[in-house]
Amino acid sequence: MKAITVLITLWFILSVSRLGYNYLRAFTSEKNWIFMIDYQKKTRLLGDDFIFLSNIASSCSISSTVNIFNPFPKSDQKLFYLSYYYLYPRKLIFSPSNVLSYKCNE
Amino acid sequence: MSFPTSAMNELIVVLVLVFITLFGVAFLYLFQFLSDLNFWEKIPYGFGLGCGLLAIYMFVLGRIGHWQYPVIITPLLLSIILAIFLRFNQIKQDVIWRFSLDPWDKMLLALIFLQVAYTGFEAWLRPLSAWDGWAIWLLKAKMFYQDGFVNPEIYHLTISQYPYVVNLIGTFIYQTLGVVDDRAVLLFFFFVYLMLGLSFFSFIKSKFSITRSILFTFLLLSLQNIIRHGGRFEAGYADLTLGFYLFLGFTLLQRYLTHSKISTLIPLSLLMGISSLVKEEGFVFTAICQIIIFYHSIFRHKNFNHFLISLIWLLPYIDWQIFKSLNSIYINPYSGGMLDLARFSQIVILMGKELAKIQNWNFLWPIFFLALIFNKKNLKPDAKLALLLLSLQFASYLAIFLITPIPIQVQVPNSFDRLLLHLAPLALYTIAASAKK
Repeated sequence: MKAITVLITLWFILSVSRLGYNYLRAFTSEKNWIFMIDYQKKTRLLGDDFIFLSNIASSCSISSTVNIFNPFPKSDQKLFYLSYYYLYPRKLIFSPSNVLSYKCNE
Repeated sequence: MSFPTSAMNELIVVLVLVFITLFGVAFLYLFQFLSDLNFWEKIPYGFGLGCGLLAIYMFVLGRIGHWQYPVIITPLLLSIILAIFLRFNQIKQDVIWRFSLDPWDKMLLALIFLQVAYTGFEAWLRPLSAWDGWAIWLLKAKMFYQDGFVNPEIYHLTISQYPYVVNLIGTFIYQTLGVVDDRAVLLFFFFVYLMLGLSFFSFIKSKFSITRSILFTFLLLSLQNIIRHGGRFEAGYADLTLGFYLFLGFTLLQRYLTHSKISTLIPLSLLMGISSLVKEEGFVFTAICQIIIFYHSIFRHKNFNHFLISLIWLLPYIDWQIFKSLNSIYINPYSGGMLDLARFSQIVILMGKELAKIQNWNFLWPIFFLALIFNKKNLKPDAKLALLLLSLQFASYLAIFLITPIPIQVQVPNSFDRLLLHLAPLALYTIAASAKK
């Protein structure tokens, strides 16, 4: 019983410390996020895949069919799902290739 | 690709979620469910029921044709107006919720507000980055919004068969905004975090002291894994939502087993149905609850009517299964897998590593197991019920790991921390209930 009380007390102290640390982080490293625009935030979170898909979205119309040539078409689940997330309702066709590229068919 | 950045969107999402909550609360007042709870205690149930009933309604409408926004919101608005008109005096009395706070309680409450404010800030700060968000839950929310109906083709394109509650709440938010805003929509997950805290506090407060209630609510809301899913980087997963529904379901099951009232049984059954439509793991919880209700109503009280009423959850669940069947939506996640008991020790070790991770759970799980070993004599029936639900749900996850075709070294570390989110509120309640004064 004493062990449980001690652990709950430690837990409480850790939680309060962590709360303080979180606020410190919010005012230091995380405040940069406030001043970023949406595109910058998504690039930072999702990397080159987002930039690639942004280019497709701006150059291929909503009704087009997009061929995405991908070095790892079957294993690259991230690109597969991100493509549907950012490009739907465009029809998507994934094909293997040595280089990541795309082609719009209107 | 549209990039809406207006702060107006965040305000609208907050108002939408408040609207859905008020609809749920109105539903409770109109039918006099949970009438002994005051207005504030009804709010988490209102949010849970409101989201679930709205999603079920949209799912039915979305298969008949394209959604018409006025057709969706009119019944919700009418419910709120009717409740205010018919139950005004009751609501006026229920709004009063008095309890006295000593300086220690006020300090703990201040810590909770700071914690909630931080999580809310994190939910607001970044757009969607959680894998399951853009691969499952908000992906389909966006697709349904863009198509204007529940397009079964989407399930084939995305190779998934996950149920629809979280998807359709996202869709409703996008319809209200008139645009897809994948930063504003994350406030839904923050609201789940908030409502989990409120429901946890009000349930413990009904049984123990105010200090214990506030302390353990702070400990729950400050768990790093829960903060992450409530707003920081992992908002977009549906696991915290399921954990919220499981806890709500537990509280109503406990009430029903104590008082055997239909006014508790009906919302309980609705929550069971909604849980099974949030994530597939919710069906396990629903089945466990149904067995307990069956035993209680038939064997202990010989009340067949109650047992029949408890089956209400089957209506939306079977409807979902029929939809999948008619549209050939069936993906077997265990295809190629077989029961392999030889991996049991390895699974236990990998699970143990996650349970001991202080950076995710602080001391929740070590204290939970210690409380089981040393305080089991203090466990009252409601804590034993929480323990029973938790144990059976946990056993189902263990069974999944024994069967899954995915290598255990990948599957357990990737998913077990999220599965524990379903159980963490129950575990913490067990600790709170077993601690001596």
